[in-house]
Amino acid sequence: MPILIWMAFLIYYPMVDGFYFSLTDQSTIGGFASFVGLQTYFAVLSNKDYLYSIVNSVIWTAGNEVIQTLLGLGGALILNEKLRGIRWARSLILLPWMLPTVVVAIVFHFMLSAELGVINHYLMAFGIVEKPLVLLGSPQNAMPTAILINSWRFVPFVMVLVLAGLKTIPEELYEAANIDGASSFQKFRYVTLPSLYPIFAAVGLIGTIWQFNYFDFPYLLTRGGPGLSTATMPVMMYMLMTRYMFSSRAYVLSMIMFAILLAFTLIYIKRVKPWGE
Amino acid sequence: MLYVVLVGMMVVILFPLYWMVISSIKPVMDLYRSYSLIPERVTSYSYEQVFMSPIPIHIRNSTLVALAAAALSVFLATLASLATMRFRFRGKGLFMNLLILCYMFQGFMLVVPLADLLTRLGLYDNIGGVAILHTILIMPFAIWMLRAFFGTIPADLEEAAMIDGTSRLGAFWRVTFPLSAPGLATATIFAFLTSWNEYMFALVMLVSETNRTIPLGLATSIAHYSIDWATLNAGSVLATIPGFIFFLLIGKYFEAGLVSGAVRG
Repeated sequence: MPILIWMAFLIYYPMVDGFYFSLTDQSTIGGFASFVGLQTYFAVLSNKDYLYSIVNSVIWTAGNEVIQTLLGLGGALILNEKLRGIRWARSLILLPWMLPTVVVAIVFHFMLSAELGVINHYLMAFGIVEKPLVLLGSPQNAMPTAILINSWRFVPFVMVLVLAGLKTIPEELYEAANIDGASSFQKFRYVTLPSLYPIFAAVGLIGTIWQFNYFDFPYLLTRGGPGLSTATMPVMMYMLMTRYMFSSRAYVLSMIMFAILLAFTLIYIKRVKPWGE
Repeated sequence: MLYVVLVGMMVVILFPLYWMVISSIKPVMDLYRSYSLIPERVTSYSYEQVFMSPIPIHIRNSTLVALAAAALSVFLATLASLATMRFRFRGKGLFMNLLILCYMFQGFMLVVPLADLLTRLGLYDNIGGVAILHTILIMPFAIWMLRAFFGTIPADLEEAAMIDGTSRLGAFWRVTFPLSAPGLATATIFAFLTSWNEYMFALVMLVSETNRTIPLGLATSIAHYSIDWATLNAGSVLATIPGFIFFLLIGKYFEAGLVSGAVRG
């Protein structure tokens, strides 16, 4: 089974390796490492910058998942209507998902820039704001902005999946509900939502794991800044490795990430049952 | 009313792409003073700039990496998904669970130890090494998608061919393979794009200018002190072209593959 060799080498070997180095005091990758037990773990857990990156990661993941689920559902419901041009809309929505992450970061930087950004220009032209909004450059605004841009990219993907789910709901269910005199809200609440449950359950799990591990976008958009306001755990790990020369702490963070994800997944599978009983 | 919402939604989704394209054909001076939705003047200056920069080399690197990663991962994913569907073996359930676990390990947790491993194998700063790493990102989903596709082809067909005297591999090659061509194409394109768009592994593994892939090349240009928006916009458009072409050619198949992979699990 070549696949098992592939997994052993590329997934499980690095895991074990990472676990070992998390117990050392190594400072650069491949550098000298001596065994210090749990010392590095204590160092990480008592430093508020690292704890802050854990909080950031949770905000980032939860924010993305909530927005993407709500907008994904809303968008799919609209795309499921019979409107003129709906075929065009359906075939175009996946475009943002095809863009390289770096391009998303560049395009939004360009559009949101305070001096030459088109968004600030029109906001001011219509008198909605008086001064250019500083979105990515301010510690308060950077994280929400990053979450919204990332959602711009992933919501269409959720929409396509939910739309596929909507198509699998048998028409008879709605007819039966009509006979029982259900209102449109009741139909949505008791027919549509339960039928979409398996899709949301699966997307919720995989999306959460994905966003939690996501390095490319937060890093490309803001490099974790301004300050540490968008430094999620993966970004923090990268800075530890390359800038602060604490590679053993990066390994410790990766172990913490793994522990969080594992706990989340186990609870999720037990509670939400994404693959049925 | 719904119509307004739909149009609004499409504008939000598509405007950034439109703005990127028209910004790449505007004269640089206009970037700072003209916000009209239709460019007042058009020039190919930005693209000329791009072709004098190292970006064409990065595009070549990305193409090589993405082709290698796609070939390798689709080959392995095909074997894996067939094996888990057509054979019964001990630990099959465990294997599928481990595959789900792969999702959890993905990402930065793996990068650090892998950088270490590749350095020891002499594949550091080597685009071949990056292609191998990209298979990690591609495989779990590719296996999912292919299982869904192969699941639609009855095993009876293969068995019938085997009764007629072909080997198991021969049966697969002559019967299942041609029938699942759309599925394989989808998986290949998914693999190609994942690799083409990937940034993190490339960032950690590639150091020299001539080895960079296109996301890395573009990201490096953002980091410079004076941002050269002309090159960045035109470079972004070029980096988007492969995805766009695939999207136009087989967007429909791709969507179907995505959906069947995710909905059936």
